[in-house]
Parts: sequence; C-alpha cells; structure tokens
Amino acid sequence: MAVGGVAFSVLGWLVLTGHERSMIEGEYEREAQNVVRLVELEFATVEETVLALTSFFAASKDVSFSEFTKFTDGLTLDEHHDEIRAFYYATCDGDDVVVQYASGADPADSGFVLGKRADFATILEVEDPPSFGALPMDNRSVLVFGAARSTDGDQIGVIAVLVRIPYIVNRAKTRFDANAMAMHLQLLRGKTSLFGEPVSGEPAYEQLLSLGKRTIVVKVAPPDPQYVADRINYYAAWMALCAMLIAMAAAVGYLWTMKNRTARVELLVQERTATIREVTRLQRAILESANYAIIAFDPLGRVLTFNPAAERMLGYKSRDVIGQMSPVDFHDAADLETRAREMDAPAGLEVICRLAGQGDAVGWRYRRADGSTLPVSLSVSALHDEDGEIVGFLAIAHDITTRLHAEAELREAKAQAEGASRTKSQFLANMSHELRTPLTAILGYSEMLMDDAKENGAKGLADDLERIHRAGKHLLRLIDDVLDLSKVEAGRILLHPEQVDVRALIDDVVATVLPLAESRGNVLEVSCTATSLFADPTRLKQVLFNLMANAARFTENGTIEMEARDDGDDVEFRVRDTGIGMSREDLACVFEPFVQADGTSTRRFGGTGLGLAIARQFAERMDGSITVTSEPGAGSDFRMRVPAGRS
Amino acid sequence: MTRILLVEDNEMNRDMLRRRLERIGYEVDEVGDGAEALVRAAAAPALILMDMSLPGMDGWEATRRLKSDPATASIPVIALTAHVMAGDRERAIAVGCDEFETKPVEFARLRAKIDKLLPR
Repeated sequence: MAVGGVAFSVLGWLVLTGHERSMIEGEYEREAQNVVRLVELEFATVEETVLALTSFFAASKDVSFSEFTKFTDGLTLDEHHDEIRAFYYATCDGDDVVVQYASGADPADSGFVLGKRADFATILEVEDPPSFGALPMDNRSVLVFGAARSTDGDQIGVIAVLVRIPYIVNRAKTRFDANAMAMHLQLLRGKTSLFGEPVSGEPAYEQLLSLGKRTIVVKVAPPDPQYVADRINYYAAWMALCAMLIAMAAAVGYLWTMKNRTARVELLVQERTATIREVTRLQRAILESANYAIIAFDPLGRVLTFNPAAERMLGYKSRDVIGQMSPVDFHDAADLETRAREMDAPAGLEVICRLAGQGDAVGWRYRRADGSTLPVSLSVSALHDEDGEIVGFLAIAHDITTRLHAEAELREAKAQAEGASRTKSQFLANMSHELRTPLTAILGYSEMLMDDAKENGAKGLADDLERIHRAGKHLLRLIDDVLDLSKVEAGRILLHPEQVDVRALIDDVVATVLPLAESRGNVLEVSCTATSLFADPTRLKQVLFNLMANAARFTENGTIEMEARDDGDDVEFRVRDTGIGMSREDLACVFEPFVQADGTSTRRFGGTGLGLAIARQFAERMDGSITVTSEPGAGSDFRMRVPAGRS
Repeated sequence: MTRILLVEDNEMNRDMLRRRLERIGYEVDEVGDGAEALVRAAAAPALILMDMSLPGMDGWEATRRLKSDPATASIPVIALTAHVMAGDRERAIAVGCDEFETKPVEFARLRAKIDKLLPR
C-alpha cells in the first residue's frame, strides 16, 4: 500500500509536474498577450487622437486660433498620457509650413518651419527627425504626427505625439503580472531596438504592431526557467501535503487565475472606455463648436450624429433626430426628386449618398422643422471601416442664404446697369437719327449749290460751300463713330465672321487710304504673307482703315508700312509710320475716346478722335488685341493680333 | 418724262431732293406721309423714293401695302433711312424695298441706284 502510495505519488509527481509546467507556460503566454494587447491599445489611442484632430481640420474651411485651442484643451494631458507632447497649429507661408502656435505638455514652441506645403496632403510621419521644434528625441521614442489642411488649404493643424516606448511598455507590464513573472519584452523597429534587451532563441510570443506608418515588432522572451521552477515547487508543496487535493487545488488555482483575469480584463475595458471617452470628448468639441451642420448617418439613413449647428439650422433637437430620422427628412422633397431624375437614381437617400466625394454642391435646400426652407451648400463624404466598407456618410451643410442674397443683389445691380446701358444706346441711336436729318439738308443743299457755283464760275463761292460741305461731312463721321463706339461698348454689334482673303482685304484698305496718304507726300509699302483668316471682314477693314488713316494723318513726306503675317494661331497686322509719334503720356491714353496727342490735333490732323477707341473695341470683340509702341518724332508702330480661327 | 414719287416728311430735305432729281431730268411728285404716298402711287410713278420714318403711316407699312397690292407691286421702291442700326437693310428688303440708301443721301450713289432700277 505504501509502495503503491509512493509509486502513485512519484507517478503523480511526474504527470502533474508536466501538467503544471505547460499550465504555467500557458499562463505566461496569456499574460504576454495581455501586455502586448495593452501596448497595442496605447498605440491605437495615439493614432485616434491624431486622426480626430486631423479630421477636424480637414472638414473645416478655416480654423481660428481660438477654435484650435478649444479642441486641444479638450484633451487632457495627464500623467497617463505623458507620451502626447504637443499640438501644433501651422499656416502656410509660401511653400513652407510654419508653426504659429503650439500647446501641450511642452513649453510653447513655435516659429520653426515644419516642412513643405506639398508634404501635408495627408497624414504623414517623418522618419527619424533629428529634432521636432523643441521636442527632445531619442532612439527610444517614435514621433507620430498627423497633419491636415483646412479645406481652403491655408491652415494646417498638426498634432505631434512623441511616443516614448518605455513609458508605454512599463505601464503595460505593471498593469499585469509581467514583472512578477520576470517577463522580458523587446520592441524593435526594423533593427532598431526601442525597448528591452535582445530576446535570444524562440520567443514565447511575438506580434507585429503598427504605429502611424511604422511597424513595430514585439517579442516576448520565454519564461525564466527559475520562475517556472519556483512555480512548480509552489504547486509541488501543495501536492506533497495532499496528493488527493491536487486536482481540487488545481481547480481552485485555475478559478483564482480566472477571477484575477476577469478583474484585469475589466480594468482593461475601463481604461479603453476612458480612452474612447477622451477621443469622443475631442470629437464632441469639434461637433459642438462647428458653425455648420454636421450630420452623420448609417447606410440605412439612420442619423447617428446631429450637431448643435444642425439643431439651430433645422430646428430639430438631436434627441428627436438621432436614430429616428433620415437625412431625407431634412431635404426639400421636390429638390430630391429633381436631382434623382438628373442622376437617374431613385429619389431619397440614394441621391444624398451619391454626393459623396463630389465636393461642395450648391443649389440644395434644407427643410426646417417649421416647414420653411433654406439654401445650403452641401458636402457629403463616405465613412469607411478598416476593410474599406462604407459604414456611413457624413454630411456637412453651410447655410448660404446670405451669400445667395448678395449674389441676387449683384445680379440686380448688373441688370440695372445693363438696362441703363441699353437706354444710353437707344438714346444715342435716336439722337444720331435726329442729328442726321438736318445734316442731310446741310450736305444736300451745299452740294447742290457747289454744283451751281461751279457751273456759274463763282470760284470763291464754291470754295466756301466746299468748306460747309466738309464740316458737315466731319460732323457726320463724328456721329457715326460715336454711335459705333456706343454700340460696340454696349455689345450690340454682332460680328459676322467669314473666311477672309487677307491679301484682298489689305488691297481694299490700301486703295481707300491711298489718296489721303499721297496727299501728304507719303509712300505706302505693303507686305502680306498671311493668306486667310476667319473674321468679320467689314469690321476688320474698319479697324485697319482707322490705323492706316491715322498713320497717314500724322505723317508727312514719310513712309507708311502695312504688313500682315501669320504668327502662330494669330494673324498679326502691323501699321508703321515715320510720323510725329507720341510721348509716353499720350501712349497711355491713345485708345481712350476723344484723346489725341494734344487737344488741338483733331483740328490740325482731322479724324474724329474715336478711331483708335473703336479699333481697340473691335479688336477685343474679335478676341484679338491691339498694341502700340511709339516715340515722339520717331513714328508709331501699331500691331493688331487677331486669331486666325478655323481655316 | 420719267416720274419719281418722293415720300419724305422733312420739308427741307424733300425740297432739296426734289430739286436735285429735277436737275438730272426727272419729274418729281412729292408727298409727306405714307397714307398720301399710297394714294399717289395709284398714278403709277416709275419709281418711289420712300423715307422710312414718317408721321402716321410710316414707310415700312406703306411699302408693305404697296408691294402687296398687285396694282403697285411692280413699282421699284428705294428705302431712305437715317437709321444705321444693324438689320435695317434686311428689314427694308423684307417689306419689299428694291434698294436701300442711308441718309444723309450721297447723291451720286443714289443716282446710280435709280439708274440701275430705271434703265433709260
């Protein structure tokens, strides 16, 4: 019996020792997993905090200093999160992003250049920065920072989180029994050790964690043999006392472990909840202080978030909306139907969801609780989970009543101005008619009398009549030009473009201007290499004639050159003379109506003073341009470019 | 002698045009408004010079009626208008005018147009 008892004990010893060893190792591994899991949660907290701030920036048109501090102050930087070091508010200065303001655990740190504007399109992380402002870096820290531009792109919010790996790992170890188990961990980023001595041999547990864009390997060394031995001896003592109770003891021990574990898991959950609450507080601050409506809803259209600005805008209370209403309820029904037809989609939620990623959409109307409507600019984005599945949508709406009102006023003012312009044009047309009637008589009678005088040989009389006639003709040209100018300025002259033979056009203009040019002893030189262009021939001729007549008028015994050539997609017409030229001051206003080189020149040189103003107006109407260079005494050089158009 | 009906409300212009037309050998019958012009057109002038802005019935309406009446439709009409607004020429052709001349009349050009319509 004794032998049997001993044999049983020895056998039991061997069996149970093996059992204990694997149990202890299993317990060790679970603890290791718990510690690593906690480290992972800490990393996730850092990332979520970064994301919360960046998404706040990304969703805002602009962010003021005070808004920024309100959000960052919402984050408690307590001793549990001493890895979070600073929040930066940066603005773009040219290509540089310059930190304007910093808040957080570190002393204010600003004025340094954070990086280049182009780098800040998305969240990013700098590999091993030598320094980050005043943040001290060492090889056991990882810097994660998130940055996002405000939608107008001029402000950049940056949150820099200096993750001090030893803080996090030690905190996790303390939270569990890792220290009592003499657990040894090593954290590696690539070959750089962030924490712990190298783990030799096969690790008991190994996991890849991500932090920002980095991958961090966590290795847990196998349990210390001494620890395992101590634990086995601990159980062995129990066994020696009462082998019969071993099974029960084991059961009790297991239950005890389970209880401890439950407590630890609860602790973990509490901590996790606190973390989430903290991030939630930040998000709530964003939602609450935004001055635009933020409405989040799931793919079935159940509203999940309805911020205070949405309450103000729409007149609903968030408690009555969340989970009860659909974003469809806030839209003008007729609007949705119209859009649905345009999109060829079923009216309702689908229309709103399809706006995702389309940027700001205007022309939408929201319907308030009281039935009234307001115009909004609406931006919808899809919310994705980790696997890229759409889990909801975020609608951001701005009330654009004021903007539309201002636009309407502007349109009204424009219509009035156009009306006034039309009235002016009509007045000029009428006046022109009234002026022409008596002119008809003046010109007609003087012409008739001129004929009489010539027939009767009354030379002196004929000369005087000729003067009356010439003055009348001049007056007529003035009336024509004023009318022309007012019409083209009012946009009432329709161009009739057609394919124009440039050579024939130039010949025509030259033939018309030749008598005037030669009467002043000028030589005309013509060069034409352009062949054809698509333009209104009448107006083109009018402009070229004006330029040539001007050149002839201001040149005596000189040369007038007319050139037309192809230049890229344009035809360039050039009129050069060797006449009196213009001073810099005259050049500045040469294309203004009624301005000639000096006040007396209309009398000295003829012309109406409107020719160049009309020329410029026509050139611009033909999508061309007209320019001039000139020097006093050295002649003038006018160039008009007109698109050659289709050929 | 070839007879031209001159329709023009402005007395001075009418007098001037009449005298110049007579000098080049036409007989001129002159009236001051559109309604009168319709009456005188019954006397079958060789050509009508029609001012388009007339008191009462204007030149546009008078021409339209002349051209829709078979008795007078074949008489050539030259429209005289002080309007140089775009479209006046097209409008004149549309109501049935055979030619178009802007005022102040350039007499040589008007004469050429008359000669073309009344080959002698």
